[in-house]
Amino acid sequence: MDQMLAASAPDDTESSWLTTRIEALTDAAVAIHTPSDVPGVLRRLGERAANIIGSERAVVSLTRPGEGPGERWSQASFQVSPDGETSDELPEACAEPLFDAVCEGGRPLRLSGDELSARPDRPTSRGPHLPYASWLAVPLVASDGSSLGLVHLCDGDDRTFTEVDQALLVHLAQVAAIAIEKTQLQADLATQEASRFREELLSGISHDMQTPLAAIVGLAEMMASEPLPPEEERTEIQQTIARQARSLRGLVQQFLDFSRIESDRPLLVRPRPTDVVAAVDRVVSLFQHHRELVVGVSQDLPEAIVDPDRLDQILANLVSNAVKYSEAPIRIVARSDRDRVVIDVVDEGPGIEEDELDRLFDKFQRGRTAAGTSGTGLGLYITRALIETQSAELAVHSNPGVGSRFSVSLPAADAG
Amino acid sequence: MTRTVLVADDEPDIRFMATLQLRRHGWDVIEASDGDEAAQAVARHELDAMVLDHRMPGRTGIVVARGARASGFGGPIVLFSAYLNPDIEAEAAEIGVRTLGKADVATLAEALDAAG
Repeated sequence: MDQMLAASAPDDTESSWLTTRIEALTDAAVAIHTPSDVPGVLRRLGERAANIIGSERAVVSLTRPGEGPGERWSQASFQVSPDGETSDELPEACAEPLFDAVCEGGRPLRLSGDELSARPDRPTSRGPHLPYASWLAVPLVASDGSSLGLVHLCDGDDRTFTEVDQALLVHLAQVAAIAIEKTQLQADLATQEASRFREELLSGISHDMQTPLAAIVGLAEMMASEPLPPEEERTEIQQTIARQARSLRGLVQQFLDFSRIESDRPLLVRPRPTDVVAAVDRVVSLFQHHRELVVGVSQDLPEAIVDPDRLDQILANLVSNAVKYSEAPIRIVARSDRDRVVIDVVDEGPGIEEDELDRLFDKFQRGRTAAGTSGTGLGLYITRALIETQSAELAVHSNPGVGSRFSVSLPAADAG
Repeated sequence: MTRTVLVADDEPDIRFMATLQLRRHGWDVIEASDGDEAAQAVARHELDAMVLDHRMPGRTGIVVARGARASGFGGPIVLFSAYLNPDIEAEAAEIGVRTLGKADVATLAEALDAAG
């Protein structure tokens, strides 16, 4: 290339031709590195190659090494037409022998119409799109020297690809090969991170399950052995078993909900007129042994339209968070506000900072002061999903150093 | 003469279950709901044994155990936790503290006898 430049003193047109081409290559490099998936990279490569070099058609295809004929070139292939249309089409089978030759050789292949007709492995039929008159193909070579695939340009009878065309295509192919490896690495990283999250989740859940299991097994065995615990203890034993069993069910429910949210399946909810006061009573009975709870309920509170089991889940999550992050008593208030029924859970804990508020409802978020406590970091993530799937709203007000208030707003049953 | 055991755990239902179980096996039980209360109980009472949750607010179980051994307590100590990292397991073994998985808390009384 240097020799070529030195040989003829560059005049204005040559200079500007070069500059334009170089700028186009730079642009193309940026464009090719933008997509985050391999098909996107291939598509960009085809578009830019056809555009910069000016060919009727570009085909970009990845190869599956080790596969037999007819299977080797079936991975991610695009044909780009001059008007920019791309289509996911497999390269025609008759083109495969030439493609194989390019990849095995690991070098570009540039053929004029005559040279193409003279080859024994030339495509034997003219496809509906490909004139197969002039041929240029460049392999996409990975950093370890192996062939990932190729990019192929073809054009009509009056056009023969030049050395410059080939050099441009080699450059673009190299950029694309790097981009492909990069996206594959990123995908691997994302998979690893997802795996790690899943492992931590499972470990967190099985960790949290051990407390209710221990209580249930210990107490149930006592009830099943001689001598039976005295009358006055039995009621409390049975209530404790029931309470811990519900807690265990809650953990399992949490995991099931999380799975559904993650796989984009809708959460199962059945909103119907529900006694909110009873729901507040249930959450109080769950937590009153852990922390002092102060309850306030408005008189003549209407029923709310909500799934009662899901309301229990939401309230249990909010109160459990309050208990976890605060030693002081927790207030639970149920009140009406125009055509809504609102339940507030108020704590005097450390509060939530601005930056934490943004992430509050994300998965796997734990509070700053959560160290040493159990929890999967999924409670609010699932709570938010449950709220969104009914006509409910959840508002958070917090004052760092003072406390927080979480307010669940539900439509009242007899509105209007 | 009845023997006295300290039960320390921040989960009220676990404390309840452990207390009932140990009483059925003839122990007198003193309860503590966090590590600091547990340390105070060690200082205040004549104890024959201790059952300590590891993860508690305030001092952790191993810290309470360490303190008790340091002040000359020679009786059985059981430390339970859902998961104890190898360093803590090692320290427990060194100071004669028996460890128990949280799920095995139902066998607390036997573990205590075995640790004695």
